[in-house]
Amino acid sequence: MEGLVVKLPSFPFLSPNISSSSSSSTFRLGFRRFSASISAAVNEGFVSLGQLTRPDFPILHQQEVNGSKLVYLDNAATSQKPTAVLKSLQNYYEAYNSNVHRGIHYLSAKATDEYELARKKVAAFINASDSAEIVFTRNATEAINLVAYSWGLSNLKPRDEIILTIAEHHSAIVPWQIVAQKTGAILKFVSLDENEVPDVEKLREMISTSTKLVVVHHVSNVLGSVLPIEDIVIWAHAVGAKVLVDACQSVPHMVVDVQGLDADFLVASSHKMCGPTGIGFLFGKSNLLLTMPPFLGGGEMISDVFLDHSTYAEPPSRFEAGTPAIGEAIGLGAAIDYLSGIGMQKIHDYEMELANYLYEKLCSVPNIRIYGPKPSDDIHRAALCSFNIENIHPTDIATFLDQQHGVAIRSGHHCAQPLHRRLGVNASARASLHFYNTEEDVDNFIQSLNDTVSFFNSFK
Amino acid sequence: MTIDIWQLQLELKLITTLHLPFRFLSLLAISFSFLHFSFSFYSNMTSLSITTTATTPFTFPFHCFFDKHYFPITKRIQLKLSRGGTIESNKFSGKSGSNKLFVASSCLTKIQTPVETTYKQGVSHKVQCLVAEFKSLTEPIDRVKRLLYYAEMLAPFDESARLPENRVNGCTAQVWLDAGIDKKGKVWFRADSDSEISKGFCSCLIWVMDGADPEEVVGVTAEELVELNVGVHGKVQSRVNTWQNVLISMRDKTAALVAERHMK
Repeated sequence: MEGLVVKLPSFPFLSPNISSSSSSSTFRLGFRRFSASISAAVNEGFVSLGQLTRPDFPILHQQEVNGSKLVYLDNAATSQKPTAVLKSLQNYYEAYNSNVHRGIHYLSAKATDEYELARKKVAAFINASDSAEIVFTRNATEAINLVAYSWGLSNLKPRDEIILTIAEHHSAIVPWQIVAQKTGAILKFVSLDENEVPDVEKLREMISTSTKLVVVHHVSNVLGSVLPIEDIVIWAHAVGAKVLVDACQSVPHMVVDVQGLDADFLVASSHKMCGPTGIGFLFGKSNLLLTMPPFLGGGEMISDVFLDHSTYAEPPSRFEAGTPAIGEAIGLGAAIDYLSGIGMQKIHDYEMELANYLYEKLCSVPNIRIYGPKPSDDIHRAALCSFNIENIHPTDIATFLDQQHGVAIRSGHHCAQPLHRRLGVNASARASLHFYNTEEDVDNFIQSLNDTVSFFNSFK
Repeated sequence: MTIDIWQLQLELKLITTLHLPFRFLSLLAISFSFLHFSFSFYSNMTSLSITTTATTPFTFPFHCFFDKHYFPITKRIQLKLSRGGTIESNKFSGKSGSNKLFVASSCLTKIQTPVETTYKQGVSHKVQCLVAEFKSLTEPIDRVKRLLYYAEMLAPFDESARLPENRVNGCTAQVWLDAGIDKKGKVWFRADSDSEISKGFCSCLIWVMDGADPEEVVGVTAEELVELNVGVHGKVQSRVNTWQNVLISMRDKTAALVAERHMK
């Protein structure tokens, strides 16, 4: 791509200021102007989205990692944060840090406003109908545990079936194993088809009147595949089963519409979508959340407390015990503002290009085995590739890439041991991209990878 | 390669006398196949000289050693000896394509006389040697390369020991560690891994610990060996720090073996 650098005018939203009450309206105006100029620049092909947004991420401009420039390709593990998010966190603690929902003084009211505004932003981001359908948790794992302990324990009976795929993240499997043991429910797993994607047809066949819940990922963190959630939801609802969607790898990278998907539960983590760690959320349909008993007990989630019993608050507060991660929630709000400013569709389109580029380039490395489907017109891959190279352990590859080239990838089982067992390997290496990566990053990675391969082969 | 003869003689005393023709040479052959002992060499030469009382020519197989690692690698050399006197060996090459079998390291330069390089080189001395060696490699990539070099020297792992209870927990690669106590009360270790870098770590740790007293093994701390942090940043113990996990496993297994022994 040609490197024409477009100088960005500075917009108010990049350093949010809570002082003026009309700030929210200038916020939105700022978005439209910003996204217009981004669209113009990107559409004209002068500069890629990666090149344009990179300056917003201070951590990417590290000078030296083991003597080389940092090439960060571990975004599926966690994403980097733009200055806007960092500033919002700092601003919160500098200007209006206070406990929420409790106080009537000025700071407390401000903090509460911003915290609830963040909730509204999350709701709008995933197109939930009501912000009361968003429960803030520590991360997606806690959100899944919430559903498991709260909904699962009170709704599952012996011989009820929960359908999962073998490609699920451990966080989507283990809580259900625990709950299944307590309730006598049975877990059933869908295996992979010939494209190395969970077999959707088999999943459809597995859904029966005994099925009470289907737990599926939207985008796989190992295979890079995307599941047809709308279809799965239709089949599940036909038998009265609920669907829990693990959207950790989809929400940061594409448009996710919970009403369009008609999902009953959806979880995601902030740290994968340019927000701070320590916060994530559960989306649950109102009618479901209303029937669910509390998960953790404590302050905030109660209505009245007596010595021998307590009454509980309405959702979402019912599921948010104790002082929440206020600053982090506000940081997540800022991350959502940033992402919305670019536009999730734009991000998705750019990442699709990057995904194809990465896959093509990786295929050129000798003796490589990339897991997941081959991209085509029908099959789209996320911008990540898990792979193995014959005779070289992925940890050795990752170590060499880090030590010699400053390239950060991941090696291991990526919290998907059942999947790796099915693929017949103990571990794999994974490179995962985000919208602030560029084709140069990919080129750098491939070059370094080839160097790594020659190095290890020369030792044999 | 030059194996200093009087070092061999030190070890040969451990063998019961065998009355065989070409006694010295036979003992050599037997000793290499049955016993493990370490040599520390202070030379890099590659010629072998052996005195013999043989009166007829013969050939015998000979296993090669690296100096710091007393595990025989699988290279078998045929040495042809003619009548009496000192014989030179054929030249041969090691696995990595070099003719040098002995590793020159900063450690070696400290050793002056063969007497200091006996089998009883203590664990703490070896730890110092290892640390000094890795410290001398300032480029991180050189440390990786050194580990890979040591990985090659690791003795083959007995498949029967590849059991779940021998898996070292907490490594991103698979590592197996087998341990036992021999009749003299010394601990022996064998290890393997599917990752070459992890194998390198195992090789280094085994060089330090194999054949040592249990008290010495248990006394080695992770802090002493922090220079082994190749490819692992920082000093914090993390799941991915293979060598630390292997070290912990070695200590735990040793403690368990000692406890078992005392119970008997």
